[in-house]
Amino acid sequence: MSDIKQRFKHADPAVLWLLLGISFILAPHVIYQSFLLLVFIGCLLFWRLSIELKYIRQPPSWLATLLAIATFVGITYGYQTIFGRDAGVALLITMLCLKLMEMGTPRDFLVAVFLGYFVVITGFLFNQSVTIGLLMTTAVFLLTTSLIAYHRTERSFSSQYKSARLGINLLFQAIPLTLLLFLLFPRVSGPLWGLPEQGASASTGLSSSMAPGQITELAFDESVAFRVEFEGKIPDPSKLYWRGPVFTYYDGFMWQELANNSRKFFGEQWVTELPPVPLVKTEDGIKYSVILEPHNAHWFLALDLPTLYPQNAYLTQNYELISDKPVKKLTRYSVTSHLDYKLGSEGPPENRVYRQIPQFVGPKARRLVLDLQDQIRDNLPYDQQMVDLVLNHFRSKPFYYTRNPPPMLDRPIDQFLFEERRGFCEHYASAFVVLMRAAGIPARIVTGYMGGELNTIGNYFIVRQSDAHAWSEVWLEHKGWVRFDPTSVIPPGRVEQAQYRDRFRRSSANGSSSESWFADSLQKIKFLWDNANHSWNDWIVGYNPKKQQSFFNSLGLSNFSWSSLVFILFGSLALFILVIALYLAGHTIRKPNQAHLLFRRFCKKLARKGFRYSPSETARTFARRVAEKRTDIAIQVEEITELYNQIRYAKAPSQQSLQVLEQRVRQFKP
Amino acid sequence: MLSKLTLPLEQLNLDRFFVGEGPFNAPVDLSQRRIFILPTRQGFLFAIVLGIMLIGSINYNNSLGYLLTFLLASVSVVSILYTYRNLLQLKISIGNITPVFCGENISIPIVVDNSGLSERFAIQVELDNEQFKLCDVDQDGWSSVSLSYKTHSRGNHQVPRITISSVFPLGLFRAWSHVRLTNTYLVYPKPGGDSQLPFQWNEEQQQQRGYHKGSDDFAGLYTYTPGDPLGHIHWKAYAREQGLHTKKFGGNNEQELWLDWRVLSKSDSETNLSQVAMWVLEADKTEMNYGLWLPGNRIAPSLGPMHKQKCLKALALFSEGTT
Repeated sequence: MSDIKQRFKHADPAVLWLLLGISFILAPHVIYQSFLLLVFIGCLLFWRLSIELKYIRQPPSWLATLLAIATFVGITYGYQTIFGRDAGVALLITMLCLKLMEMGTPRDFLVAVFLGYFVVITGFLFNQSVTIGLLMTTAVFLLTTSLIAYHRTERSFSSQYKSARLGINLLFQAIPLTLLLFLLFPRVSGPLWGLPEQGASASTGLSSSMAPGQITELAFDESVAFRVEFEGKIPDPSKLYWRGPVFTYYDGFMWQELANNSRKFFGEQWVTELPPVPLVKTEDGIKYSVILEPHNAHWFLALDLPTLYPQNAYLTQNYELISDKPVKKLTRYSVTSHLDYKLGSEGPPENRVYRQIPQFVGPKARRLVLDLQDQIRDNLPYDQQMVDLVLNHFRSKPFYYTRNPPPMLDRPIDQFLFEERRGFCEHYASAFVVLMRAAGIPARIVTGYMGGELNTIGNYFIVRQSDAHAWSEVWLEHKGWVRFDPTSVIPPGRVEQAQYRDRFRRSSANGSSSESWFADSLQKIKFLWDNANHSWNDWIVGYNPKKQQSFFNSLGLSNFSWSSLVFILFGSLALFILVIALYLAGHTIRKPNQAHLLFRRFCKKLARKGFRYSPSETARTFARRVAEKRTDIAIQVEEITELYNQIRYAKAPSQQSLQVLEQRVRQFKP
Repeated sequence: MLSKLTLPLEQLNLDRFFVGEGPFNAPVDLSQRRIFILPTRQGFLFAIVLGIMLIGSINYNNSLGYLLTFLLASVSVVSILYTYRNLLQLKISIGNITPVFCGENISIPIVVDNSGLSERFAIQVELDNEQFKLCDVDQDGWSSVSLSYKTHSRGNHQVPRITISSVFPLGLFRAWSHVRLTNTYLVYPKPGGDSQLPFQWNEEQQQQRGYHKGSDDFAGLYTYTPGDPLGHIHWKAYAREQGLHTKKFGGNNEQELWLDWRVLSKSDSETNLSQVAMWVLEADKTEMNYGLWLPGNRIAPSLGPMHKQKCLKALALFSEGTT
């Protein structure tokens, strides 16, 4: 054990700092890179460490070259390309680790550090979260410290705290400048050239199709889907249905949305997408901003139903809010929604897709509909009665809510309704819509998110992937499209996962917290952390040309010109540098002793009369020399010199004697 | 007014930049106007890396990319101040230089004194682009760096230009200051030729030739005067706290040896000087009083290390013109 300690003590600390820094840089890539590559990189780092600890010798240069060529070929083969984000980053990080193998000259070391800095930035192409930010800041600190350690003469292990301290000082003193540049550096929108298409990056969260019978386990994904800031009053959480993709077409196994503004052949005819049906608003809208995490698909999430939405999005016939471009990075948009509305109440939807079910689907379900139709009374509207009857069927029969349903592959609808009777929201929504359509009532499935958690610290809503939900919309005579959530009729006693039950209750009961103090503070910490993420997203990650413009406006620079911006940028840069320079100078330059300054003034006066004070003589010998020649001022000279000596060599010179000295020197006229 | 206007132009003197001012009397204070700073090659490389990072950030519109690029740029800007500060207010002086014979290595002890409030790291001390050494200087401390190089000619030489520089902490910028000091060092002529001493007796001594009067004939105690050979000091008396006394031997009749330039052929003065230097060294070993006769310079016979240095210095400084 002490052997390793000794080896560490004799290793070059600069290299150790560098290796530590590179480990931090590579940490986020563990998630995004292939396993084989990670093993290779891990081996290289371990190899380099062993070399530094002198367990093995440095490999010959031909071996490093050979490895570099092998890596290049391997990555080209593995990714089928060398361009593009993933392959490029893979190549960069391996080259960085290979560079560590040949560090003979000072140049090699610096190139390795610079390459390290460069690889830090590639991590941000995948993820820009607070966690990554913190990891990368640490990495930058470690790399900077390794540069400092490298340029020192002292290589001892024990004096490395000095390198680290200087590294921290450098970073902290650079922060004001960094923020200034970040805020003021002119941002341009859009890429300078076409971004390489990022290969197979799967969309996360909601999907564009739904096959309830095939999923046997619903992952409990706590990651944030989006955050919402409400302007004004926050609506009741039970009303928060965040609308996503709407599914209209069922092939017997899978629900799909009809591609927007396109035609699809089904049954015997072409169905064309239409512009959205007009909406009748019954109260004032709710304004809010959504900060959407990237999910690589096109849809924006909005409350049922969006009425005002940003320019770069459009509404489909089914009131899905669709973005022009896939959401590949954190996006903020403002929406106004009306929670009470009448949609399409003028007449039944013409599109036949809302009544469509393939012939072979659910013979038993169709029979169930016929049975239920027997209970219909004439004095009430048929469709409303059908909805109530079906929902009552779910409530009265032993239907269970579970996140781990059994597979229902052959006859998904009948198996669910009559055999298994266990499933999650997708099963219920799917079965409900099929039953409605079988009864001749237009219906569709809406997926999205339900509820959310109010972050009491930042006063915004957090909606997580685990809040994903599916419900249904039914067209009723005179009422139009009405939302029904068949899952919600299942009594809490028939919910299998307690975890989910709690969640369900909290979001509906508006977070009545009767929890313990510990759970309460834990919740608070979670909220604080999420709030940090939110502010980070809002101010750092989401700082774009638009935000910069509004920042300038808030500074009163609404009509700024480029030249004035440059002026402000450089002016404040110079100011900050000056402040740091003064700070550093204050910690470097010793203030001249005041008594000494006074004595110098005294010497200057004498110098005019031909008495030069040479540095080799003491103040006393100088005074004696002057006194011998000029008896007229001898007393004054002796007195001043004596005072000076007293102050200069006293342990704690009094302010009073200093004043006396000053007075004497001022009055001294040789 | 006009003089004020011309002042900046005067300060822009390029000689200050390339050669340095001076020479000055040591110690020289590295003040703001003596220190220059420019990026190193690594600094330019780093700037290119930053440029690529900035273009990448713009292209991908990556906020954290911007943030990182600006952080690194700011760190390098702040590092300018650190590099500059690393040299600021250092005092450069030169310690005692021991003279050497021509052809030997002269060692120049350069003293870097830090009266400032911060520790200095990796200060590079360089002598006229030949040799360098690195040193750290503690707060309120000093470091001495000895740089040596081969001497090529005798005489009194000025210490070559000293360059104090530093790339600490990041190696992106190099601050430097050329310091030219008035300090000089002596190089004695290289001893050479015949090691046989030229015995030249004056007439009085000629008569006494044959009977040897060495330094073993004790002649009496005299008060010590600087330059007396250390071996002749009466240490026992000193130990008894009776003061420093020197034992004199042989009295007035002591042998005197003259190392006379005139006995040498006048072919080449450098060869002659080498020969005389050799004699001085040999004579010093014999513990005989010896004197030196050079054109225009005559050193009375004496003995001891100070006398030897005096003679060698005279040889080092000898120039034909003084004849």
